[in-house]
Amino acid sequence: MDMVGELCLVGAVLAPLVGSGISIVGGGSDRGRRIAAKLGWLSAVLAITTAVSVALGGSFGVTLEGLYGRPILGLFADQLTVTLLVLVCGVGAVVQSFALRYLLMDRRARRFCAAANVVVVAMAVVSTSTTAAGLVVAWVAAGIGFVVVVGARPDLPGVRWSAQRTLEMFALGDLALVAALALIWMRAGNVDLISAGAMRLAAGRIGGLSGVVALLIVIAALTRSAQGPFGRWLPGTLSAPTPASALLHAGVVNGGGILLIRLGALTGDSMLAMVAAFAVAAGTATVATALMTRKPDIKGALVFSTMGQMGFMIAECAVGAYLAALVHLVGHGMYKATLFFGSGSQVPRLGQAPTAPVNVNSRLTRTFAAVTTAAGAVGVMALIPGVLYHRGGFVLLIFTAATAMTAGWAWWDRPPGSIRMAAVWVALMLAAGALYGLVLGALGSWIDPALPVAGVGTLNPWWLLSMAAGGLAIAGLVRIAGMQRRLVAVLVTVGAPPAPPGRRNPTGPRDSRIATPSGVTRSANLSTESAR
Amino acid sequence: MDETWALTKMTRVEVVVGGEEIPVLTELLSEVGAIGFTVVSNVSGLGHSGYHQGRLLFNDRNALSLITVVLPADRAGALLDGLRSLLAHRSGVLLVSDTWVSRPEYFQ
Amino acid sequence: MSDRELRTARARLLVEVEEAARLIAPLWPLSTFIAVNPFWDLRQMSFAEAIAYAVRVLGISGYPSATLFAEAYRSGRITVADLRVALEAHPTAEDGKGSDVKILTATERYDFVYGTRIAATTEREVAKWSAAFLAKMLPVPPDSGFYAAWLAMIPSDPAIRRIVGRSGRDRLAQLSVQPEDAILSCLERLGIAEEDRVSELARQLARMPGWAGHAKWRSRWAPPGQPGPTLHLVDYLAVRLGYEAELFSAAVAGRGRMGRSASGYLRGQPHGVSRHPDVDRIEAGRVQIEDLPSDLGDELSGLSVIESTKVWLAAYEGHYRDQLLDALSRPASLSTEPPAVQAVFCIDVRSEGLRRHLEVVGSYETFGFAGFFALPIRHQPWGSAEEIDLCPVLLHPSSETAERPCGETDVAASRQLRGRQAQVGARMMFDTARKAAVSPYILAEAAGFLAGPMAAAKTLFPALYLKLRSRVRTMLAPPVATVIETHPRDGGMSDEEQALFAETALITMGLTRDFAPLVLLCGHGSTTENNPYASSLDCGACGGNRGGASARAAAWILNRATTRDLLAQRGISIPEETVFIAGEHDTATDRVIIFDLHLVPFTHRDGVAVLEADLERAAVALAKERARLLPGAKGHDPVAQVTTRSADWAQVQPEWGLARNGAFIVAPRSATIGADLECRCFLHSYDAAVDPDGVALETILTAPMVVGHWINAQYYFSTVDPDLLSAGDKTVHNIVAGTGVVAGAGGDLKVGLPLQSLFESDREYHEPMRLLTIVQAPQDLLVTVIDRNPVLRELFDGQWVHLAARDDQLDNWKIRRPDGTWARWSPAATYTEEVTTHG
Repeated sequence: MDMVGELCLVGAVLAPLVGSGISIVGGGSDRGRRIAAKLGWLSAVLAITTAVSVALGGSFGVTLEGLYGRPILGLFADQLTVTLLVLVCGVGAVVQSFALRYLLMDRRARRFCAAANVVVVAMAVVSTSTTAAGLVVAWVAAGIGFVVVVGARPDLPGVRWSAQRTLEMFALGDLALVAALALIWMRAGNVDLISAGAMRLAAGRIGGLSGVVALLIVIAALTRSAQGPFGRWLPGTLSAPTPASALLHAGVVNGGGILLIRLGALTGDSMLAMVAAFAVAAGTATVATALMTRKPDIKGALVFSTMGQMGFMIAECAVGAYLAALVHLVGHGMYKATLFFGSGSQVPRLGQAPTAPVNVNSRLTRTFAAVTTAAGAVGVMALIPGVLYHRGGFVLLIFTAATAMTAGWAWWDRPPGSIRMAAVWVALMLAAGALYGLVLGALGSWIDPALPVAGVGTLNPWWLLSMAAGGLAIAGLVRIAGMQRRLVAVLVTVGAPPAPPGRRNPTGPRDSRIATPSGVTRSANLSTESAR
Repeated sequence: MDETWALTKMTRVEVVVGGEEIPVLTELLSEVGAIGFTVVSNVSGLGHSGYHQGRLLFNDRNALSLITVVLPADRAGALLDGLRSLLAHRSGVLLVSDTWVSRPEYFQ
Repeated sequence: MSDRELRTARARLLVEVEEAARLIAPLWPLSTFIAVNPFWDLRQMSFAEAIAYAVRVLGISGYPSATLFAEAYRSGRITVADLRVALEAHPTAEDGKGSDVKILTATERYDFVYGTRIAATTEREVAKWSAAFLAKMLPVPPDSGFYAAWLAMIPSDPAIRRIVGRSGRDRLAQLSVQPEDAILSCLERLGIAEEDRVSELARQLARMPGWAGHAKWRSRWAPPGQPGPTLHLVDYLAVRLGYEAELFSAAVAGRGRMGRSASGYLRGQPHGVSRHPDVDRIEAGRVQIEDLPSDLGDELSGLSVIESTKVWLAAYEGHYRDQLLDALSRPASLSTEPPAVQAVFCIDVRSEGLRRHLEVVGSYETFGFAGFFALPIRHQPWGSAEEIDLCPVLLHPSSETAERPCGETDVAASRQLRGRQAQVGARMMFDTARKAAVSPYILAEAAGFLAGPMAAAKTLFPALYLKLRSRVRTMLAPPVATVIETHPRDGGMSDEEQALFAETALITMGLTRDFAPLVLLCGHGSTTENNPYASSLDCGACGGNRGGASARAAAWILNRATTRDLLAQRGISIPEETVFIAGEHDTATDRVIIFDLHLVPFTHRDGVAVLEADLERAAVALAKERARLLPGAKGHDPVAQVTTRSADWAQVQPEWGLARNGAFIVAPRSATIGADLECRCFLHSYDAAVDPDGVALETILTAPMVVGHWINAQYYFSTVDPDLLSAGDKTVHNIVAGTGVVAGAGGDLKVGLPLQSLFESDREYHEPMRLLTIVQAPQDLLVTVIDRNPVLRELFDGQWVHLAARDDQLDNWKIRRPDGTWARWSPAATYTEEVTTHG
């Protein structure tokens, strides 16, 4: 049984690598990419099989051992790593399959395919690596692979500059991570990331440097997840084709969360690192979500949305709510990829929108409906065993209540067409709450043993509400007439696309003759200092 | 006109021009302060640039239209300047005449 | 300045703006994409002159590249004979050697000399505000114009102080409320003399043809009541020039502080300023072919680059013309037996394929007519909040139609409406939750677990997913039988008007007698998934919408007894047993759906069933033919392939649309039947016998042909200048405000068609040629029609459109020369033979 599981694990991780090779070698036609896409699906299936294996039979791993039986490199499948593996391989498969048709006309599609596969493999290793060294190497590889993905089309405007900027920021973050690894290695050698005991031992050996190590790891996580000042590389990536964005937002940008969860034992004890992470992440979440509301283009709005969501995820890590962060990581990845794939559907065609129902519900009705929906959904959720037991469970309930209230408020804008419609909606809301609760509860109780314990440095989960407060504050400020213009102007300007660095304006003056459409030509003096 | 008829003297400007100029003409008219105007589409005629068949069944923009606007004489000057430049580059006819209106407030 | 002087200055400026905007193509919102000749407003000039002007202002090349011609020669697409004929026809006197100097704005010249970035900064700021305004994100009153909104927001802009300095910001806040006055003062500050204003404004607009195009559409083409933020040309220029003037002042002031004078700097310029490729752009590459016969090669080298390019283009077009006219010269016989069904399709090139396949499958007689079926209507679909203008954009709708349920009870109808409202409500709920302050976080998680499997399913099994989704939607909002009708009370068509339109349609296409028992009026549309340019694949004659509603309205009108009585009075008697039915051809899947079956009398139901079966067979044949040309479709079952492509959200090239269009044929079907026109020709039926005074011919040439020309010109220019006149690569498109598209993160709106509609990999799929109009009508009638319509004179004399004609089936083809005379056509090959035999 273990044998099968191990094969699936290795297969899931290596299949995209084979696909990468084939797409490079495959020649001009699409055949190489088609095979790579099929291998991508194979890897996803194998990942799911591995997950099933773990669910049925417990964890296992494949390790390359060195002297004294200490692991050098390896892949390990336990509840946590296999969840991440399924996400990464699944995203990779869908991205490859999508890109197969989407980049049909693209001569350089092979480059994208190969690099994307490398990213998938690297992130899979990051997710399942047994040792810290393996994780860091894979992390750097994922970053490099992604820079190649972004830069696959240098002929498109803004791509070269964006790739360069991404490379610079990633280099910064990766340097921090490598430095952290070096420090760890000095004190504790190649840490085994699987056994909690080994991690505690390593943390102990690191001793005084643990604060520095934790901070360096946090910087790496913040960079990869585009938080705060480390996140300026993200908006530029829109110059790359849509599949690149989908891969980024679903598989690469949540690397920060993956890092913090897997290295939770090493980071969680440092109050400095956790406070820094929380401050940057929560600030980014609040600001980015506000910026998103004033972005006129669909992809730009998605970029800021991701920044905000990643901020939420890292904040959850900083308060030690690792399960919540994991669920967020997985859910958001699929959500954002779907939105990016479907970003071409935002042109409303004429004549399809139905007439609005005539009546409008009163504010009282809407508030009542919103509150009862929230209560219902949250109530259902709370009933499901296991939902509240994990760290930060109550805070999540509050956020869920807020979401349900917003949804209820929006839906009950007009009275539903019939009692049946209202009943269907209520049922759907309850079902949504139940489903979400099931995911949290079932997944939670299954994964919990594999998650790190919240360290002493992690903040109190109630701090998460600061993001809600910040968001509400900005939303409130925008309503105030006096502040409105100023605030919107700031949002529009800060959110505006970055300007590529200057080249000298290539058009040049040859002569000073001027013409009008009717063909009359005149001379004029070229006087450039005529401005007053 | 006899003063006892209680009419006010104004300037009447008529332009025969291609249908696709109507949008810029309406912009020009609102610019100079003309409150209202009348457009008759699909007129035909013979001119310097040849014969223009007016009635095109499926094309409003390439047939000729006639715009009539009445406005106080002091505003007419600006309008005529604009129209002169407009018609410098395209075929069209500009006719200016005096006219008397019964309800001057309609045209102020 | 006195009020009179002020108004005069403003009026003059308006006219100058109009002149300057002539070379900007209007850009319709994506919901109703219209393919347009980008230089339509320059058509008073000839094709060559307009391109020469656009080269100087926009920086385009205007002609196909040397590589394309060289490749065409190598593959035999252009032969030596074609070149000889083209050279022969080429006017020896070259068009007045126009200036080859680029037109630049004052700030562009300044940027080049001093290395500043005024122009780029202006563009960034203008794009930022334009996009925010269009997306209604600015806190200004809803009916406020763009300039007013910008003035209101500029004092609060955090970046403005950094860009133009404090004094600049103060001056901007002091700008006149009237955009025209602001433009005038800014032009003065930039030192633009009055006679140079038009060039400066033209180049200002040309720097961002996308936003300028949107402004031009709003100012010159959008109906005055069109909802949405109003971004007018004058407003747009005022904002642009506001930035330019301030940035310029700030730059000059800064330079002055450094103690160097501009003129001194200029005098000290080193020779040979490094030549950037853009500076050299005006001179396109000369076509280099080694193995041309020496005399031909010498003659071509003797011409300037532009002139030789024109010759190559003429040869390229001539080759196609010869092939086509040759194919049409073969006598064809229509079957003598009366057809069981007559089918009228839109003139769209894609209909040609379906017509061709349908005619061999059974006894069908097909006609071509512009897809709005002579009904310029504003249509309100059942339960819809919006009305759609179903007519070419050259026309204003003259009446209204509405769709209403025709079932017995209202229960089903209101159930459908409620279902649709519920779906919209769900989407709005999702959007609100997505953008609110606290809710996005959990929403992403919760929705993600459903979205993930959905996306995977959609990517793996597109057709199946689409079927499931349709089924769910049908369950929520079950379809109701409806009928389209006009109501004379409010804006509808009176009986006489209906009869008039019906008569126009029938006479124009030449269907006035020998009606078959069943007549199908078939509009068209295209079903694609996740495609911002979906409207570009729909019917251009219906304003970028699907044509089914027009067909239904036309069929309803023609079936009415009142209409038939009135028609009989005018000499068109439609027999009682003739029934008109309406259909819609989905050009992505080639399926034809027939509407309103509930209105078909029982006697004809069998006939309709046979028709549907035959349409299915024709569809399969057409799908096979098309699938050979679709990229990536090799090796798959053609019918499954087109169905999948239509449903696939990852497919960027679902169908080729009107690519490779080349000709517009105005003739009875007898002229074209049996010829395989490869879906490259617009086919409009016309019978001179029923059109003694040429009104029908004139109607066809001044509207459908203009629409065809626009489509052809859009494809031509987007193919020839993909950087400037096409929308670029679709894979990086980013929809702004649901109205337009930018590439990547932001910047200028994209104009024209995307590369995926024109190119296959990096080779042109569309053959960039000017439209060849082919008319079968008595010559004097044709000449009369041309002479009394300036638009036709401009198009034909200016060589925007080529014209070939013959009097009837047996006559020889003649080509119209730009000066109005006619030359007898003979294929280039025979011409060369003549030349060689006679020395």
